[in-house]
Amino acid sequence: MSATARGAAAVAAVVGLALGAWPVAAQHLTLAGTLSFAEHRVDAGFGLERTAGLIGGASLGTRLGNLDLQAQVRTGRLVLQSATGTDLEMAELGLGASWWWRPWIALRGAALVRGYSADVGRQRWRMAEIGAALRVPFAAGRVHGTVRGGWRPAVTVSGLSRPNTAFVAAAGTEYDVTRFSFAILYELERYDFPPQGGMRRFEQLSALTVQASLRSGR
Amino acid sequence: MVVVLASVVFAGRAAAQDSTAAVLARARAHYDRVEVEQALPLFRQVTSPQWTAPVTPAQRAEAFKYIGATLVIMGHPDSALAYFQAALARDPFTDLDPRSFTPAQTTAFAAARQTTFAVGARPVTPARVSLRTDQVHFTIVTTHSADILARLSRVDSSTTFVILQGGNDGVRDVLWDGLTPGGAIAASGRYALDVIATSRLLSIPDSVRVYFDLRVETPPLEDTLRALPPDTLLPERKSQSGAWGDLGKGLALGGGVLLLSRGLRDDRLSAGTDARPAIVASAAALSGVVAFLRGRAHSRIDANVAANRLVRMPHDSTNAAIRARNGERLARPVLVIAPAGAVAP
Repeated sequence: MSATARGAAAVAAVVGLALGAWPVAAQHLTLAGTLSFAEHRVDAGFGLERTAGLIGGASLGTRLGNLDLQAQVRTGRLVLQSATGTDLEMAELGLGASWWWRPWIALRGAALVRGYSADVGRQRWRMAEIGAALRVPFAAGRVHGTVRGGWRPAVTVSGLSRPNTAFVAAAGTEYDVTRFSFAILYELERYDFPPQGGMRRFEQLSALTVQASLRSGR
Repeated sequence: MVVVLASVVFAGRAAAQDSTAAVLARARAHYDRVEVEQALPLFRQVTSPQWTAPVTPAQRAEAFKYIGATLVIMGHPDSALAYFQAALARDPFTDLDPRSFTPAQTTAFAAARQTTFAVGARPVTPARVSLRTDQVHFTIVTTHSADILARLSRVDSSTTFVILQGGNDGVRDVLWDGLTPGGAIAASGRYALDVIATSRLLSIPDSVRVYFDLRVETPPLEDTLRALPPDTLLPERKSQSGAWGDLGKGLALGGGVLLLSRGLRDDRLSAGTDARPAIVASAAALSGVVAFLRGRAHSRIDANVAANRLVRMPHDSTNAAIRARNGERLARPVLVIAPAGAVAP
């Protein structure tokens, strides 16, 4: 079973779970779909490998007081854009929590599992993230500016040592229309790995993500 | 003889000491008993230049009228005509009641009316006139057919307007609605009623003027409620700083996206250009601009407007009711009319 197939199964599971849970906890649920125009760049000392493609995803969130809980999956195919490298299939499962200290600022934590599959093999990433999110309202609260930043202190990658630097940042705008909201975000992930056999490895995943959400209840 | 002379002298002094009204009453009593020989000297006594007691024009006119009537009975219609004319000249309202006077007398009096021209107006009687239900009444007279013009003039201003113009013969009640020609209620003040007449038979003009005071009396009005204190109402419009703030947020967010993409990316991996951050930044900046423009154009806070409406509603409805009641009171003033002399107050 390929990573894409597993990712698609996970997306279906999240959607199914959401649909199943909807009547029960319909007052606090948020179901979202995402589409990311993603680009993955990596340089392991053999030149820049660049892949790009569409990554689709879904997420299910709920709110308990000031705490937002979220589960998300995303998957897609990244097609080689450079002279060297290979196409990648990417799949990711993430669980996150945000505690809103004030309506406009939250502390975040997340755990993610990501897999890249290629013809030559498969690479699994496990990541823990801590960070913060700002959500600034304007236009009478119908629009929110969102800025997220996170440090990933615990990242393990199969076949590689832990990166020295691992962080994620995102910024964009959210538009609320009754129970729906739409967002457009730019996301950037960076990983700098320590030298291994005299070669350093740098990775970057960036994406323009559009998201549509449906909130239930209030 | 001495006794008779003494009694005549005594009678003359006693008569002179009597009031005009008493002498006229005695004379009328003789007249009513057809004792015309006793009545005539008494009526003549009142009209005599030697009569020292005060005589009003109406008393003098009455004396002349009865002298005329007496002379008709005594068979001197020509002399009677002159006395009737004198009576009419002094009081144009003088008339003979057909139930009390003979046809010969009324015929002679009618002849006197046709040959004498005078116009009269009764003094205004005190009255309170509600303009909704009543009008101001004036009584005028011409001794015979005439063209008349009745006009009101405010003594202390140049306001003058005609309330009657046309033909007239005899006594007439002239009505005035209390309004000026412009439809406004006449202002309080002293007024003169001028009646100017020209005889259609004799082409003789005559005029009369009476004064009266007019006061417009309005029932006391209720005070409306005070305006609501500002701290009881919520602001109904957003401050313009909010719109500028939205613009600033949008632009700052757009700048932040570009900063994030350029500042945090790994330059060792970032060959070429990337349009995606610019798209997101443009969306953020455009949102700020749109929010700014909407904020400027739609600064009304509907929720506050609705909340203020609930606060204002009872206040405004109470004031509306008070205004309606006041308007009703103002719409039906009372004109207080009182006779006046010629001198302004």
